[in-house]
Amino acid sequence: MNLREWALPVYTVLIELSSGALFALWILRTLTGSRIDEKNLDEMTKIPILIIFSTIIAAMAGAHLHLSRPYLSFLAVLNFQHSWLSREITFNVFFFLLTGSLTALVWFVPEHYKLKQWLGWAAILAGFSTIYCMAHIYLLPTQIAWNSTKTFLSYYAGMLLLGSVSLITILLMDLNFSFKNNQERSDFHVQFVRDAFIWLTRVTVMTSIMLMLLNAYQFDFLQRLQDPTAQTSLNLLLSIYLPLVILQIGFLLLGVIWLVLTLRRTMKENGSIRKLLSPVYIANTLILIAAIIERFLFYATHVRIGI
Amino acid sequence: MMIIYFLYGLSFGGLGLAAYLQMHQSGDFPLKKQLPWLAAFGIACSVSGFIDMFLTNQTADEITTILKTLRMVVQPLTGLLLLIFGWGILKLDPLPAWTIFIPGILIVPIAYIVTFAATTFITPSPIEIPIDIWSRYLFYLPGSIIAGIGFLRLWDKQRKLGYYDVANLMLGAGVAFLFEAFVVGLIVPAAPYGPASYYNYDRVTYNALIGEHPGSSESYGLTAWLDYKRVLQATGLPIQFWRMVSAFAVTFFVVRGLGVFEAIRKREVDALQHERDEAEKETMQAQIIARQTAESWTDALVSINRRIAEFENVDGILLYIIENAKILLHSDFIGLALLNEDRSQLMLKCYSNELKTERLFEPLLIENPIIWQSVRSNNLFCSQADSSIELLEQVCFPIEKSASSIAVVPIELDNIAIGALWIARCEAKEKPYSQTDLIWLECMADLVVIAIQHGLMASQIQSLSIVEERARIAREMHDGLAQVLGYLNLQVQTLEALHEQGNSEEFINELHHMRQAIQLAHADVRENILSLRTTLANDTGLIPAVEEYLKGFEIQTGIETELSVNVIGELNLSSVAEVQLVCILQEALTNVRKHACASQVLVSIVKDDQLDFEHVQMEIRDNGVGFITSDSKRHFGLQTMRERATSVNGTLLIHSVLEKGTTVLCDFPCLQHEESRGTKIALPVLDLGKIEPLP
Repeated sequence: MNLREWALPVYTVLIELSSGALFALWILRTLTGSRIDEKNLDEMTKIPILIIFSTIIAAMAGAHLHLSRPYLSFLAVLNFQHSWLSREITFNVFFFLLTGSLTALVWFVPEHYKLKQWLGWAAILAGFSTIYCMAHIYLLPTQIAWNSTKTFLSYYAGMLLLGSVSLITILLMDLNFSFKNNQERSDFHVQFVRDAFIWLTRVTVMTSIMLMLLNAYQFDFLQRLQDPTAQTSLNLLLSIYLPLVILQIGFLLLGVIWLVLTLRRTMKENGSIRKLLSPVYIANTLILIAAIIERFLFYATHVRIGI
Repeated sequence: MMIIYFLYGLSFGGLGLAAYLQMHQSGDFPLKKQLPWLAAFGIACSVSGFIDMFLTNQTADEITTILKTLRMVVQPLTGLLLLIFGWGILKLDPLPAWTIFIPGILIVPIAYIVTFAATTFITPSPIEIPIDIWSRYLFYLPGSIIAGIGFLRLWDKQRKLGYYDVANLMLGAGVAFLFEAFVVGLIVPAAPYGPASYYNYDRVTYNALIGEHPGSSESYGLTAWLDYKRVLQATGLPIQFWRMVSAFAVTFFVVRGLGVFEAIRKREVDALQHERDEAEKETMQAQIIARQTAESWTDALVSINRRIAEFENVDGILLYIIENAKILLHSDFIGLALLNEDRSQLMLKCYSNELKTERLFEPLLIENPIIWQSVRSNNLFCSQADSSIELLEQVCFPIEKSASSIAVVPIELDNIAIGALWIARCEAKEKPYSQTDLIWLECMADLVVIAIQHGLMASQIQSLSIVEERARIAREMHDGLAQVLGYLNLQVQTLEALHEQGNSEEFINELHHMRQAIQLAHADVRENILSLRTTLANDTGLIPAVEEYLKGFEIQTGIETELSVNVIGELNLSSVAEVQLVCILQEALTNVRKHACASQVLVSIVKDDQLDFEHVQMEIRDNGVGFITSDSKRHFGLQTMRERATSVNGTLLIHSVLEKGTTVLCDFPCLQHEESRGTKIALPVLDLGKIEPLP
């Protein structure tokens, strides 16, 4: 995979991350909405949503590096009816615009709570659609390694994994920032982040288990297929890319275990979750590296039929 | 090339050694905690440089392998140490709150770079090349940038502190580290790794994994010039030379900076010492000023009290009080006003401004509400910076000038306000009066009351003295002149009878007795006249008055007198005591003339160290016939002398030996000693205008 092709893991992983983080954030916001006034709710979601929006921008910028003529990228939407790529781009544009509008509303318009809620869910829908289209692009009969339901599942599982672990980091950064900046934040905010931390860690654990199961399924799937291209892909995974496979599994396990252990210890000692920022950085980095390696292997081990 | 590597290693070795030595120096300065990392970094870089030097020399294969392996360990270690050092430098001062997001944001690119780096290790190229490149990209480049930014922050901080010498060195170190980031962290061999494969695209050798051929396509956006070959082409010098220059620059600025930090620490210690000295000086100065102020106040109070005790003119005392108060309270104006009899009007009695101090004989009506309020409520008042300007008008006299601040205290007599004393400042820039000023002003108001009370007391004493003196003269006339005139009346009748009888011999005899009686009466009258004339009103002082009296006595009586004065310093007797002393002298000398049959009288006045300068003793000794002292209590004149002495807290002793003479010794306390006994006399309230000075 040459450098220009690295734009693909950049784009796909970051879109997964931003969609998952927005989804997790919006669930938390919806569940918390009845217990706190709208102004405080907006204050609590201001910085997370800005970071999510910035991630979408970074993802789209990264995607353009993949193109020879990035300034003509908008033409891709013209083929919406026939191309999953065009649909992906279209939904991604929607995702970008809706999240951008939502960010502007949360930052600059203190009212219209319901509008923000609906806009958030619409943005999430657009994000989900983008990922669906993104996964669907690779369901090609000529690409045996990709052409399975596992592709969908792994994309959505990746979305949930990256979204949950990233949101933990974002919420903790925001909380630490508010304390460092001497902003007044209510005890409710601290409790909110604490509860979110626990639930998102549970989601991280479950999705990581799911991803590992999917990987195992992929190995089994490739082995069961008697197709030479599938065997070639399997051979690549078990030979030249084996160190990366080990790294991916190792980093994922290490990141999740690290996250769970630090959280568990803090809860046991009844310590401040603000002090968990550095462990969360490490866990997030490890899990993100695992996700990127997984995506790299996804692209690197496919073998096209006929070549 | 060997020399370049040698100098490179030597330079960083020097840096490591300097940092190591500085670690063991005493003192604390910004870089102190980061010195172990800097020392380790310098030594690791030095080792790396020397390894490169040995590798340029063709040595045995085994050694080369060992050196290459060692280099693969040292190089990432060097970058890692630099990264830690740079992070420490960056965090020397608290970072802005928003920087908390930086690690979170960097997670994404770091994760991608690490992943990318991991993928490159599975390529078939020699392992030392990806190690070399990724050490530079992942550790050296961010480490140098962070260290550079950290030093630039130190430059900014030192510049703001005014330490321009160290600021310049920090700037140099910051720029040197950024240059280091460029030449060491960014310029890498042409290889298919990371950014290198992008900006050195056309120099990348064939790579089986990537499946691209060199020159097959051009990268866009960046020209290919950041590899070793292009540096050589562009500058004519190899990259190693520029790295050596960078190493020299880093070493020079950082080592100099370490020295200057130490100098700064010493300078700060000196500055602290200087600051402490200055603070001590200021404290001393403040203490001196406070002591001088206290002394000034003490002097003023003592002086005022003395004037009061000496029964000086009340007007003079009041003017003295207000003038002193004005000076000591740094005021532009001070006024003293008293209520009239029906308490309906407040009249300015005396004032002092920058031009003069005077008593107003036509009192001026005071209508300022603040002063009135203070008198009515019997409370102190002190204007604040935000006090209304209208309230500060008509405070000074002449009234054209309004005040910027004012302090008023009521003058109380028996807890009833009888007037007000106030001070004012006219310049707007002057600060308002403090509570301490108010306390001092209240103290002055108390002295005003005491002066008035003393004035009243003096008036009463004067009245009593007049009554007493009249009684004395009447008694003298009754005992002396009236008796003689009565006797003469009888004698004249006797003479008439003898003349009618024609008894000339007896007539002449009686006439002789009459002449003697007239002579005695004449002597008495002349002595009384002398006594009446001898006063202290002409301010000549006690001693000259006594001297003059004794001369007159000697001329009138023919009794030889002698005055002996042994007075060190001033007599320091109160006016009343002086008057009583003269009266006692006169009474004693009258007794000498009438009863002692003395030819000589010695009067001595003493105030010396034997009396601790606290008493004045007067001794009147004659060489007359003397008398039995046990009978002295029956003598009215002696009793009067004792009473006079007792009235001024003095004592009187009489010692007499028959046929040898009499000695009268009186002892009077000086003024301070008298005050300490705390004699207080409560007097009724009188109008100040009626008070007259003592004669």
